Amino acid sequence: MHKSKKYIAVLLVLSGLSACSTMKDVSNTVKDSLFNYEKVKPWQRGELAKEDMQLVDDGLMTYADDHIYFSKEAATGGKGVGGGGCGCN
Amino acid sequence: MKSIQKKLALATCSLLAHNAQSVMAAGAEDWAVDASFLHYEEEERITVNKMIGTLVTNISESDKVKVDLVFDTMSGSTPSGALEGAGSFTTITTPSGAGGFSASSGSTALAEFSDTRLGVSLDWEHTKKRLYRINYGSSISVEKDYTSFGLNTNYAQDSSSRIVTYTAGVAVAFDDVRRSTGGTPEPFALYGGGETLENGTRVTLDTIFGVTRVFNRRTLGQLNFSTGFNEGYLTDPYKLISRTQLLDISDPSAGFDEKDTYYESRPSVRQRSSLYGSMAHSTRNDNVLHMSYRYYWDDWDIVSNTLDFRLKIRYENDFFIEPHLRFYDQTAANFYYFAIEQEVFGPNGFPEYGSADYRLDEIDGTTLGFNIGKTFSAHGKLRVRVEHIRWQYKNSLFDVNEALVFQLSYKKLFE
Repeated sequence: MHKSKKYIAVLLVLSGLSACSTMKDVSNTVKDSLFNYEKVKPWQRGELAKEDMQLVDDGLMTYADDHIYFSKEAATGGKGVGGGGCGCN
Repeated sequence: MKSIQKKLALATCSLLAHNAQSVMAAGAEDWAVDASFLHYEEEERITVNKMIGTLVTNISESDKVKVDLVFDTMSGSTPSGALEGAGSFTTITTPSGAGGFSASSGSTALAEFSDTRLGVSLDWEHTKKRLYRINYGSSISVEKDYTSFGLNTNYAQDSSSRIVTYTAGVAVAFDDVRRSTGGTPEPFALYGGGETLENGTRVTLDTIFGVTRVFNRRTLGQLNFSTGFNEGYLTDPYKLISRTQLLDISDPSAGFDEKDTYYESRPSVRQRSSLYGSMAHSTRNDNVLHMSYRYYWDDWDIVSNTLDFRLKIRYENDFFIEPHLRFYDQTAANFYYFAIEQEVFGPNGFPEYGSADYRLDEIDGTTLGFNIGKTFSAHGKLRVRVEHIRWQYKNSLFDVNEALVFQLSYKKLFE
């Protein structure tokens, strides 16, 4: 369980670092920070509409990674369900 | 106006819960083709060449179809679970040219193998009343010693404001497991002895429930809960486990003798669950941060954490560099043993279940790599990535495995 806390701590640190990358525009950083909630209107979703902003932004890379880690590690899944299995070694 | 409509459609698509293979949110284009070549190479172990092709097309204003093709060639050697020191012990034998594992004379712990895999999947997504989407999928994967057939369906519903999307999905898979010579070995039979049993079969059922939310105009997040089980033949028909005896019972550091080698044995049920959170955030200077965390647990007592971090740094001329960092750890399965120790189980005794498969050991893994890409026109995108993966095993005979991944992909949209 202690490892989970370590990973969450790393996640928060990385979140902070990414927030730092937005410091060029400090006035908007708070407004658009990672965990700030804002009711976004449809015409304000231009950035969200970009392909890079999809949660799976490169399907083939994700597919290949899932297969590699499924073959080499005991933990699987989390992102979705479906897809073919394999007798991986 | 059409451009705005497309962007709104894409924004809607970005709220969808995506399957791992999904490129169905590629856009409103009529056709999208994505093809990839991947080379995976472990140091003195396995080499895999993988070709993947995906085709997505709109067949009506509310229906989309996706076809995936995968072809893998795999060869090299992999730890069998047996220990070294048994002289001319031959790991696993198959007929010449039959693929699968082959004799590895003189090597007790590494088994050579070669195989090919062909996978095909077909997905159909239907949108109803703009706020509801349902996806039906099927897949088949064939190897010389493994066949898998799966069905799945996923449902997504947007809130009226389209700020939140609720998703649910279920998948079932039916697998046939066998050695390349056919059949499966009797669990805990002495290597080379015992009966050859019929092919193993297993059923896998997975469910997923998720919420995706727009936090602000630059941040999107998702939380999934997944649970499922495998039931049937979950043993690896190629894996072995050795019995050892200490050379000096009063001094364990003096070493041990390998007495015998057996086929492994695993439970026939596995209940798995995970919590998965991910987010995408566009920074003020237009870089995109992707982060995810997964907490996994199962009734084999495997608990795992996975943290993934990518930062896509976008430059002018549609060029990007994307560093990638991944951390992984897992605890060992409750039936994982380095070997069956004679001092614990006696000269002829066995645990209820036992496997020396390195993938069930306690593992720490780290991935470091980068992905670069360039969009050449409004409809073509090239990506190249190189990654290094290192796994550290706590108790396995081979305590480190390192791999290099190279992937070249090109995506083309047609209107």
